[in-house]
Amino acid sequence: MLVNAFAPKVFNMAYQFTGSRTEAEDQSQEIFLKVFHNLPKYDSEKNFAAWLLTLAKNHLIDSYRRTRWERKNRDDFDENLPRQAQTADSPEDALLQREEQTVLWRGLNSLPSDIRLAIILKEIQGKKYEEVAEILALPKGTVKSRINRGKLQLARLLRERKEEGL
Amino acid sequence: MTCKKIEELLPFYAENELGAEDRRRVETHLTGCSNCRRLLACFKQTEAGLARFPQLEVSPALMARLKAIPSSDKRKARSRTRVPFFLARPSLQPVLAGAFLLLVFASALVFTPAGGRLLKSLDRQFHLGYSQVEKLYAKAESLADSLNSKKEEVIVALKTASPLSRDDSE
Repeated sequence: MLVNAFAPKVFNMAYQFTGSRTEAEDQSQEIFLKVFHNLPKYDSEKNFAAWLLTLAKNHLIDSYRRTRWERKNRDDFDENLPRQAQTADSPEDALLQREEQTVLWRGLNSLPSDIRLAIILKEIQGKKYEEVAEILALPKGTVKSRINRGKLQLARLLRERKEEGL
Repeated sequence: MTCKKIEELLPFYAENELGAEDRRRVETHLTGCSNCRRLLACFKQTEAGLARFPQLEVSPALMARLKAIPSSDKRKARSRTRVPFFLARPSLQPVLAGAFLLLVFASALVFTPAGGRLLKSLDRQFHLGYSQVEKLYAKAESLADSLNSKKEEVIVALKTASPLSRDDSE
């Protein structure tokens, strides 16, 4: 039941954070191992979803810091996602949208890990600022400023690519 | 207002969170700055683009792997706790540590060439010591025998030389 309810959230969070399906599957498995191992320590008065996603966030950031150098040259970065993220009707618009999504997808994966996670939770997974703040264990103001900084960085990148003709 | 300052305010402007004064400043700047106008447009496209990324389905293989975790975790926990529960008692820990060190020492003696040489020399020394003790014991026995014979001679001599025996003869 726990796996059915939280596997999609954890897997998507890991996928959007790592940019690789294979790595996201491995990370999800490690996260759930930790979740089951730490279940006895869970304080039942706290929000379970936030507790679980905080554990997932800590695992992803720790794992990213441990293997940061390997990731620089990784070859399993998933370039297919931008293709699935288009809603335009005409072929021209679809092509343009796909190019933009590719810029954003690559840009997202080049952001610092703490900013990237905040953007994933708020902008892609659609959580509220309060929920993101609880998961990241940060004040709401800090979360907001991180998200704004990250989005501004992505917007600058998009503007730059558009000026180069994408 | 400079472009840099406007860039900092753009996210708040896009979310309608600026006060009237700042809002008016940003709008005045945007009217005359195409660069910042493009950035604002890209900012809005970024927000829309991020929201368009789909949530992927979890593969059945991964679901199966994740669902198998609790039972394998329990099995591991059981195998971890069954044997060590008795051995992990705090009172036994010094004994176990001592036994472990002894085992390490004994292994070093038995399984290393230096240990073998040490054992041989210990064995030789032990036998030398044992033979010396045997010799001493034999010497002590002969000394006891000679003391016994001397004792008898002394008793005889004392008897012959005593005044009581002279009186008797008189």
